Amino acid sequence: MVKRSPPQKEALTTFLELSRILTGVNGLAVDLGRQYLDRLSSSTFAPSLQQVLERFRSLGKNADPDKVKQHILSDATLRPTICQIILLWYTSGMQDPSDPATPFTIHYGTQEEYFSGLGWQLIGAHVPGLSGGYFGHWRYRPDNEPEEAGD
Amino acid sequence: MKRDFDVIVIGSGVAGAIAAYRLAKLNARVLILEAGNHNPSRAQMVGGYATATLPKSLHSPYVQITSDKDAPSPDSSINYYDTPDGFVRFRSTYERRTGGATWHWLGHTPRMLRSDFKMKSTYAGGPDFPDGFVDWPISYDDLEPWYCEAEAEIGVAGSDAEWQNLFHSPRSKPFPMSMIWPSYSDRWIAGQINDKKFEGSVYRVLSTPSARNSTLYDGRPPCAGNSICVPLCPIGAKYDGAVHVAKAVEKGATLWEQTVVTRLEKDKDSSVHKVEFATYGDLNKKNRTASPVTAEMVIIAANAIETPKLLLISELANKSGKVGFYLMDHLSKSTYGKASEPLFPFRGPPSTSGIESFRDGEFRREYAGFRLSLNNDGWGRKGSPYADIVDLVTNERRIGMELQQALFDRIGRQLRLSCSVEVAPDPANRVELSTMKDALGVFRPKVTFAAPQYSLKGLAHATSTMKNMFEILGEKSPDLGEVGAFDGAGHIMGTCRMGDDASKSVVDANCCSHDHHNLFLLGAAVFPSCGSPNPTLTIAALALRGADHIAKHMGLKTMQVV
Amino acid sequence: MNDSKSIDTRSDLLKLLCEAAELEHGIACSYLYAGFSLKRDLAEGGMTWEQQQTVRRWASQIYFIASQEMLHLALVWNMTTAIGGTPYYLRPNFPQPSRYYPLHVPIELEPFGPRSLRRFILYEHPEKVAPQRKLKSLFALAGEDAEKIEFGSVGELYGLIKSGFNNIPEKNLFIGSRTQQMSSDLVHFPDLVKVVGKASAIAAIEEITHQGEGIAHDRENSHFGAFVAMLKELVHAKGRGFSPARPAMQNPAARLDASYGGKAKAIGNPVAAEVAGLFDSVYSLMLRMLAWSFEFDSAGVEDQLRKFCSVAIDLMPRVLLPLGEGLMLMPAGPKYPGKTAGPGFGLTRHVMLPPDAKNARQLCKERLEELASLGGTLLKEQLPDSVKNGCRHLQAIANAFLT
Repeated sequence: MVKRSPPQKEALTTFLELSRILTGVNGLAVDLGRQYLDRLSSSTFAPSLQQVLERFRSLGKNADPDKVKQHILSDATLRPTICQIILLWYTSGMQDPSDPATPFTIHYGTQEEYFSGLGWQLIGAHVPGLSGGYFGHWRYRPDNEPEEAGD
Repeated sequence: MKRDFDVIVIGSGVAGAIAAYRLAKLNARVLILEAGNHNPSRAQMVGGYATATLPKSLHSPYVQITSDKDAPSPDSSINYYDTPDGFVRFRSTYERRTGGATWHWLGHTPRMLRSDFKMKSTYAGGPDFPDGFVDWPISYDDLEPWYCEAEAEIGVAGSDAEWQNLFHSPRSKPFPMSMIWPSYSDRWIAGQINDKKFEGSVYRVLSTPSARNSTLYDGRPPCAGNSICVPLCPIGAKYDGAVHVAKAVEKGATLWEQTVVTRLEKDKDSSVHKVEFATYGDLNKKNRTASPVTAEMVIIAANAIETPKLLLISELANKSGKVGFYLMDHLSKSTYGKASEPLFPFRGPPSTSGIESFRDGEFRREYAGFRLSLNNDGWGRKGSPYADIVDLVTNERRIGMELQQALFDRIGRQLRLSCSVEVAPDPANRVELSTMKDALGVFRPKVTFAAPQYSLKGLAHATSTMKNMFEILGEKSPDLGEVGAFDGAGHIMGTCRMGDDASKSVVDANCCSHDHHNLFLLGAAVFPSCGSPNPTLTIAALALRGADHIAKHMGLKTMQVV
Repeated sequence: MNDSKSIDTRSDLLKLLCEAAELEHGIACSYLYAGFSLKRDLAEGGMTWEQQQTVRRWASQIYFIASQEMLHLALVWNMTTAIGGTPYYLRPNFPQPSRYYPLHVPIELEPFGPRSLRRFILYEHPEKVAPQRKLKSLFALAGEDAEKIEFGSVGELYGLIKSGFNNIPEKNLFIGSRTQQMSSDLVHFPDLVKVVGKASAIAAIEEITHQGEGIAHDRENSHFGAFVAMLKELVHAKGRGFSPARPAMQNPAARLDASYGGKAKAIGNPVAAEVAGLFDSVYSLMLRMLAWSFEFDSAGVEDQLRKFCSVAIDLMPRVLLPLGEGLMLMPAGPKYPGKTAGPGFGLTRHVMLPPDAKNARQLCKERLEELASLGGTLLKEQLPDSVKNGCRHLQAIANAFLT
């Protein structure tokens, strides 16, 4: 395992806290966070990511979704990076701005990342390719049906 | 004269594999020649699929560099088809792999209807009825026992109550397995739409018979809702041709992979015994001999593109001049909208129910019939949920719990309806030889296809039917795509049609070439017309019937079909 | 347990059908417990993505087999009402001792692993078939002396039941009303058939034994075959750190009482115990609703019965499944370090629902309201997501029932 320097550890902590607010999911896996941070840091989003992390740090301990919206998301130059962070956690995929087929060409990392995508359960589904549970579960409303789906 | 084998089967897709198995079971010495290679483990293929770039292609789990280069297919190489000027590239594709294209099929197995076999005698006479339609030389009743046999052989799950006698096409045996349960979405839609009328037909949602286990069957597990049937079943609940390849080998058949048949040679008496082939890549050289190889009987089961291609290269079976003509492929179209209530898409098989009501009727004198599918994959084909995430974050600036709720609100009600429209046989739609060759020096296929007017009219009716359905379900402005636009259905049929008249057809009612008494063609190439159902069950039924005939012809003790 | 080799009175046949009902029911719960224990997410640790594919396939197969045991219970209920009896839904609480049935193994609640798979194989082992040496050596890998294991079979029990249907004259035996019989049209048990005479009774028994132990030339598609294949895979799949199951406790009880016989263990964590108690109450209500449906004569009111059954059936995937799985993510309590809780499937004394449909509905309505309210209270606690989902869905189902 690569030993991380204190600035790298701090970046990871900041990234995880920001990700928690952006995704609305608590208890995000640290290893995954590390992998996603690495992928972003070695992509064309890297410079923008640095700005995002700095701005988030400057919000201090009371950072919440409203403050993130007001101070980071409002900046159109940073919004694509915010979007990538959420895409990564929800689907493990990223867009590649240099790919002319973007916006809906999505590139993935590892299989572990793919099967850890959080977005599918948020819509009452499962990661495509992984079993949804048991034969016939699709007949019923999902056992992970999101709250206030309505009737 | 002693031949190397009793039977050579060219192509290890569902048709060839089933025939090889049945004949090997009767102790025939069978050789299966497969252009492609076998797949790695399912787990490896799932891994390949998982990390394949979105949009994930049909080929994404099956990438194999050597086979893709030396035995290319339209799945592996976008330029494989040679397309004449002025035409759009033929949209349907296939895999050249052991087990064939059933690796990536959806798994639906409706039967053809009684009138699908007799289109000319049932509906001809009007000015709009295409001349290309002919009757099959066999009827629904002739094929019915073989449909039952095929359902048992590949393992089909269906509802006896719903499918007993659809459009005068009765079933003589129950389905081997009870149906794949309709999804929550199907059931909701049925509640809204059943018994309502449109254009003279009554909507009725029926569960779709599928080669997908609803119980433990044939040593394979029941479906667990992995939802990526297309392009791959991670657990083997969905049938694929490799099942019968394995069974054939277990019964003593020999399988040579990475073996591309380059030419068949006929003897002076017109019989075809000699098969020439080229190999590539790293072979397991055990028990292999050099080209050519000989057999008493030769079966070509290489799909409706490769089969006529091989016959044209070999200059065989074409006294009628019809080899390659009458290419058909159902016109497929997806339409998108949102239901008035959450339907919980992205769960279960991509489709579990459909509407069969528009497959038959007097209207077929003027325009094509069609099947409709209810789909469980939301707007996945339009980039959902990725597109929705990007839009909600970038344009609506939503994050956190707000994003979660908005995402569900958007996606939960997404619905895709789709149609599969019968294509009228048209001699202008055809497979010929290109002047271009592939890496092994084999001519590539030149494929000409344009949708006949009869079918485009059917497509227009299918589209307005889907529009009407969406209206009932709460969507006033569905995305109906461009007028007249369609996708390929992956149902490649018709290029070596079956018939009694040797001057107008390529094979007889037993799938034997009119010109060569020991050459058989199995697969959808022999379909004179195609109706609107997915063709695989009909392919399997014809393969079983054909194998039975070959066995009798060879004096082998045959299986009794009760 | 009747010691004779054949049955020739209605009373003995009914008693055996009750025994079969207890057995199918108990086995289904044992399978469900193992299914609940299999991990879902990579974040739980102990599996690679490839192992996760295998683990989720195992889970879906176990759930499928459990659903077939429930079908067997439903077929037994149909057989029971066909001959004038009433559906028997009770069973002893877990663990059930090994000499209770013709099986020589206890019926327990235990997380997935070689020990539980071994028990499952023994439950489903074909009657009159000597266990193959390969099977015995597979068991020996679990560290036991396989030669000492006695292989009994539920086939014996069904053999006796079959003899009852064969021996007792059909005209005298089938006195139940045909409109009591349940089919898949009325309740969502696909493959559920009505029992209206000897032939359909024998066919039902054969369906049960075929699904469970298979037939001579087709074991691989039976429960027995599936579990043997699973055990082989598990034994070969052991890699460094592969841990497919949550560390759930064995034979938990939400509330211990004398009916448990001493070997069950009370869940120590109070919130987990409340959740387990809610599970037991929902489970009990569901059973009573279904048993009542199988007894109720639905002539002329099929639609109402259909709706009633669909509420009962809905409780399984939308409430019991998420509660059961979620309990195995909650701590068992300080007495059980490293262990998580689990549902005890505890049954306590209660009345059958009354014959009058209006009164039966009233009792269900009240009980669903109470349980939904309990669920609402629990939602204020720190709970795994799946437990929260189960509580919310219970509220939604109760609300829909009330309107």
